[in-house]
Amino acid sequence: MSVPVRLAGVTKSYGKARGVIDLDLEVRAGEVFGYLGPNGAGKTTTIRMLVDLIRPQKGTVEVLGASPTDPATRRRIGYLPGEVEFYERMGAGDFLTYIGNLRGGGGAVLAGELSERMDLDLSRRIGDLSKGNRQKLGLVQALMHRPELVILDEPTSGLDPLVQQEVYRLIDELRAGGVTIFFSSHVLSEVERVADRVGIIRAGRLVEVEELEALRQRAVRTFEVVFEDAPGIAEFENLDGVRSAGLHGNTLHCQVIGSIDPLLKAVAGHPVRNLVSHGADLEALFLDYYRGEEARHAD
Amino acid sequence: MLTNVTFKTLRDRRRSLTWWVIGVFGYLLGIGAFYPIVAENQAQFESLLETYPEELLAIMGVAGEESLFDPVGFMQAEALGWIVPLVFAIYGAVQGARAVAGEEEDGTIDLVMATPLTRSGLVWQKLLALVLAEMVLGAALFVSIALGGWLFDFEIALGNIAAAALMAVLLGVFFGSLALAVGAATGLRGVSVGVVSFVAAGTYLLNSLGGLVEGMKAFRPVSPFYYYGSSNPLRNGLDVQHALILAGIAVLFLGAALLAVRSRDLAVGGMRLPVPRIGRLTG
Repeated sequence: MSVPVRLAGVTKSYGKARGVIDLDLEVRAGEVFGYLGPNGAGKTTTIRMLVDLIRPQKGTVEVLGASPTDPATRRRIGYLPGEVEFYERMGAGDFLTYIGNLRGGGGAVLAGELSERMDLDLSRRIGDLSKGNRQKLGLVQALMHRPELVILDEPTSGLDPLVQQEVYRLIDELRAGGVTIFFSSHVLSEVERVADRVGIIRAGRLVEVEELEALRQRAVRTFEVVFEDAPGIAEFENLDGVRSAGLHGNTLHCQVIGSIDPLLKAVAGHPVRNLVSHGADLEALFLDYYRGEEARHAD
Repeated sequence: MLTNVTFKTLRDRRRSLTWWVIGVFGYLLGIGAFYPIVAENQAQFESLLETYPEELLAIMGVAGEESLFDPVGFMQAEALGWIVPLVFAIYGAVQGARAVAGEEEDGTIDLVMATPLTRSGLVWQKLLALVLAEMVLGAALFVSIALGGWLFDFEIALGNIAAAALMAVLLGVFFGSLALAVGAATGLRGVSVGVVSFVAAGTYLLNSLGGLVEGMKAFRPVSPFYYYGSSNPLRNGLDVQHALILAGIAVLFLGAALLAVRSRDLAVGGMRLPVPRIGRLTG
């Protein structure tokens, strides 16, 4: 099976601080790839190259083993743009018929099923649909032809939580069906919720590509341990993976990156009254990447 | 109706096209209705016309007409000499500008071009929609003049009416394909309408006034309006050469549109116009 998405040395620059620079990226078949980065980092630029709306200045873009300039390739892709625009005066159902026909027909049955499931009224004029319903229509057109690769640009932005959950469920189902999903977001929690692997892009450069699990390993956990008697702080300060340890009375506060085993072994040497752990905080890790950007800007 | 870009575009335009058809039809039929009155009072109208400056007659496209009081001369003076070509040209320009640039500015081009539709396919199917819409307007022109002749008792050869309608359609397609090409190159509807308006106004004046000024006569063949009307198809039938020239240049515009849209990035909100940077040029 061909690699669903392969970018090699891709540069697309729009002058200062926009676009992407020397991007190498591979998305594996059947995975949900979360493309994460702050607004303006180059996520949409990358995605628009995947569907041949824009073309790279350098490097190669390969989608499903071929160039996205090939119409046959685009037939196998489902795409939801970041800010999806429709023909306002058209009926929602008519729009799906039209897009279906441009793909060579078909898809009407699945379009009907998806719409019904998402409670989307296809008899209405698109101009009369709410933001949430427009996004649903965008999703239906992206999925109705059973694409092998689904590209979603910030699919949940501006949606109410109920519709967001619906989108997550859809992504889960697609993954179960073997579909590869490339989706962008600037919200870490949703990437955590649905992605298998994450790429973090900042200022046009890919700074990290990692399994979500591995990223979690590197994420920060906070611990709060209440001892019967105050132990010495030195014992905890120099443990592997432990940082910013502090003792307030009988209570130890610290953060742990990676394995918590050294900390637990050390804690076990003392009588413990209570232990509270705050789960792996990817947010903090993520913010570190973002701060990297801010630091650069401050230079 | 939603099987391809051409049909979808025509479907979108059906309401506005209906109004354009009603306008063309109503105007030409109304003009036809006036003909018997004018023919009866020819003497008064002739003395009135003698007071018109030659330049005004030229602008109205009737300078050099043999007679303004036979049916052909009358139709020429009241409609085909000036308002009809402008109507067909304006309709073409507006639709041509919307074709690619409109979709791009509205952002709808994203979903359409993410399908297997090719960029060339988008352009030629849009142009085909424009040609068909102009043909509908042309049919309205044909029917209204023919019907007017039958109702109000004047005779113009049907073949000649058809020739005049065809030339109006070709003129509309000429400006439509120019607008489409500019829109395809820039992605900007306003720029497209602006450029075409400028070209249309300039070439219209060049053709109409060029007939009066000795030194400008040689430049009249630059104007599409020259090919549209100088052979007076309503009186003399179709000038095949002139028709082919208009159609041929429209095909060249189509080629330019295809090249332009195939080689550039599509952007929501259109292309940023290339503004030369002085810094780069000097240093």
